[in-house]
Amino acid sequence: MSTVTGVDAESAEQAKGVFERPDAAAEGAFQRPDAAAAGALWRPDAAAEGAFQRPGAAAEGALQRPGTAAAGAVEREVRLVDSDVHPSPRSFAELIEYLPDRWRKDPCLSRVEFDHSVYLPANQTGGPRADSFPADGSAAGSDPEMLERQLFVEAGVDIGILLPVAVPGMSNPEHEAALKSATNSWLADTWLGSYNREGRYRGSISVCAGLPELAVQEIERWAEHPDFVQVLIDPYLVDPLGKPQYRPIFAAAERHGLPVAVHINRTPGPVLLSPVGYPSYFAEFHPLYAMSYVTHFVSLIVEGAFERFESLKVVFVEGGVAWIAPMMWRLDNLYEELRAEVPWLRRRPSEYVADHVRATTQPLEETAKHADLCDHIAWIGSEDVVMFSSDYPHWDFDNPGEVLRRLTPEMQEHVMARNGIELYGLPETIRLGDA
Amino acid sequence: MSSEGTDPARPSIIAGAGPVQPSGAANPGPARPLVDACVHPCVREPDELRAFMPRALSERFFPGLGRHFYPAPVSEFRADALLGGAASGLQQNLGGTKSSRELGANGPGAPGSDPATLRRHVLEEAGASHAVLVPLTRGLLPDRHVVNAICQATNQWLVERWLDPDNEDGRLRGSIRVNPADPEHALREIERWSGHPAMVQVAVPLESHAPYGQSHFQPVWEAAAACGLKVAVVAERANGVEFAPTPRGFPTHHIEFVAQKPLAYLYHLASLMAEGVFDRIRGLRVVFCDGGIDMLMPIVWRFDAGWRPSRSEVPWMGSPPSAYLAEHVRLCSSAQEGPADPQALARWLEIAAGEQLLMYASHYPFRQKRLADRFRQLPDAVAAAVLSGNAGDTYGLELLAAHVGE
Amino acid sequence: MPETVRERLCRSEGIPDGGVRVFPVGRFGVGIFRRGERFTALSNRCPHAGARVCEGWITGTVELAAGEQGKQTMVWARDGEILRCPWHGWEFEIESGRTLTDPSRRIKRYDVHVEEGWLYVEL
Repeated sequence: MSTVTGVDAESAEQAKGVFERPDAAAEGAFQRPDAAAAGALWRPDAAAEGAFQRPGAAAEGALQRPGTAAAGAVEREVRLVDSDVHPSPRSFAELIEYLPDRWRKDPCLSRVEFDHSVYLPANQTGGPRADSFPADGSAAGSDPEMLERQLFVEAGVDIGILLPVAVPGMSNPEHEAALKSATNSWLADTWLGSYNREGRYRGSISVCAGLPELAVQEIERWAEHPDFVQVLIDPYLVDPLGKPQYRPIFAAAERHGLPVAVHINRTPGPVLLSPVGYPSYFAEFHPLYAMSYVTHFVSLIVEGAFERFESLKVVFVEGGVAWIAPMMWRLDNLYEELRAEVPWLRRRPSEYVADHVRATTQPLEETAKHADLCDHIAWIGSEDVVMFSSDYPHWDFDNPGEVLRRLTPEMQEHVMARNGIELYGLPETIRLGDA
Repeated sequence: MSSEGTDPARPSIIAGAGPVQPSGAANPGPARPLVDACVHPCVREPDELRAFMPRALSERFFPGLGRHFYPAPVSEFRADALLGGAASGLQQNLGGTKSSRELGANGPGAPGSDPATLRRHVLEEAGASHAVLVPLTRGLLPDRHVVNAICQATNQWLVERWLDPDNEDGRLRGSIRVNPADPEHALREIERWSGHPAMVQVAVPLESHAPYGQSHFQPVWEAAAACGLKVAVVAERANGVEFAPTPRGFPTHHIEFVAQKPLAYLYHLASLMAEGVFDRIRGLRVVFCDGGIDMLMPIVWRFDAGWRPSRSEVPWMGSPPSAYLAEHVRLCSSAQEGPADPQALARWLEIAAGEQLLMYASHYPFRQKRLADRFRQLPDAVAAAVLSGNAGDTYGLELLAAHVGE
Repeated sequence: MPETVRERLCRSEGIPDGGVRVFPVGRFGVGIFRRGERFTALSNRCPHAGARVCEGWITGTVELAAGEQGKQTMVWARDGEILRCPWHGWEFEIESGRTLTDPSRRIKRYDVHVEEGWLYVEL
């Protein structure tokens, strides 16, 4: 890259990006958490009787974070919730510290490549936004200062839901489960611990759905942690999610009031097989991600997961939103004739969606007319389903200002903040420390 | 020509025959010509096809028609399409392999197996000016010689049983079944039948071991286009060595299967676009017979968004994906898709480009809700295009006026 | 039509040949690209999603050319003439600011010229 940036940094006006807010300038000065707070890292083992504490949280309310009591803190309404942010360890070495010896000390097993994508975009970074790599060459999304600047200051996000996706599916589910468990410990220490200075991050409990027993253990391990707000699974499973073997995962999630998010990952091999063979190109493969979600969506509804788990919510992340209404019609139309095959359904298939399904916007379908997409969203029949996501720091990042522009005024508040606040139990305001 | 419908409460004489008005509509509108773009003529019994196969292969085992892995909990056939027998027994019969060749013209037969009955149901009663016959084969089988023999026999059978006798009016049109996984054989079949005046397309299974844009299939598409034949992609109703029906493996229930099976066409479509097939073969017209226009735009919008960044990966794609649809792609209608509300239906079809892309199909003898009635309620231009205009243009048909049964 | 504002940026040799330098002028900043003695000024905002586009790659692209036996082959072409956005990777022709996929979408261009060794941009 031969870019030379201008002598002075961009003006404050530019730095705000397109989702502008009047008080954005106040966010400019990023501060590291103070040493004392950083030292008091939260660890599950350290928590007595499961009473989880945030560092320095003392007796204050849920919003209290280290540093936020400082004089001059600004309280701000939460207007933008990003349901898909990917923090990353700087390198695999950072993550591996959290692996149990069995995996960590084995020289073969501990060497897992971060990136073994088969289908990759042609944008030359292999995935992330080009401007999201820290100067020291570590992974995109690994530097807290940079992430805060690009997500909070430039994109204007108030609260980010973190979905680490550094560990893809593996042939040995125990190995995958161990790496995902390590990911959770790492996330708790870093992004939900010392980096969570203003309490603007919430995390996901990564589990290996291929091994429900360990997945349940992992959910139990973290469920009481105040900042883990959902369970995260890979969609690249050999079976659809409504099948009985996955029920323990949903039962555990429901028991703890945690939504289950499904996010694509970069698992190689047979899980990439389509019903008619392997696609050749990323360009061809990428739009069809959504079809895996279609299968899970159909399976969960038809197999009665939402009858069995009455408060369960499943979040489809990064699969788009335009397919939902057509699949609702499709199931309802078939249900008219085939109801007797699935007598456990007490409602028409489409009627489960508003109460149980959430979907995130990115990558928002590019329609020639905004109304075409808005009508597809409106046909879902509930304003609670669609939630904004940016996918930061990945290459197909959706800029919130652009997303906002393409929604009807009635949809904007629900999509950009309200639905995320409701689903994840987020605060209505955040306090920005400027000590 | 029917002019009924002045009384909105009055039902049409025969199901699907006349224009049905939305309640409260004052103007009955014209009766519209209808083309049925996908009808499945069936064998009378499993072994009928063997009579058309070379001896070396006619004794070989091959599976019958029937989705053994995802059996339908209710009959998939129109009740009145069954000829002298209980639905369940005949469905079973369809899947059988007994080698009796004793077939009386008036004996029991499978739904869709009698030309006169099919003509009566599809042309006279439903009022279609023309019907495009798409015979089913037996899906993907491991031995290509058997698949080739089934295709060859099916074509001979279609011509001898359906297209030549009692079809002087040309209202039944045919499809040449080929095995695209063996292009050399496929080319021979195309060469053999492309001159037949009733043949309008080459038909291949929706099931495949590779997406249809990939280069080894190209000679087949080139041959079809060179003969002015369309390429129809149709889901088989048989189980062989196909992959799982969804990208996430095998769902449990029939309803899950039928909801998703037709959507596999999206992978072929994305492949045909991404591999540059539409750029190379300008005359290629692909018809996806099992519906799925409801999921077309949701996927194509994603493809449009992703194509711009990935253009250099597929530099032969001269246009955004959505721009290929009007020239190269048509879809048959299916009762699975679309909203129930008539206003939403009209708006949805506007977004889905139904006026350019959608062709009415009954999928006879399989049961379908009365789609034609719903389409007749659409605004004039869309209704005309979907009911007959698009199919008429695609297949070069001179339409007769709508026919209403006696 | 609003009057343009003329901004003096730097000495022309301050832009590396084959490179770009972004100046904090105008609403989003302006990238000055240089090829030999040719300068182009583009807004530092991608018309697609608002990325700081001038901070992407100055690169080439893949095109089709006649290959053996009448078949087309992929070739690397227009090296140094293409700007690829750092986010979604849209390709822009630096000279015109237009995308390769849709000529109607382009990065805003400004007039730029050199006077007595100084670069000026008209905003």
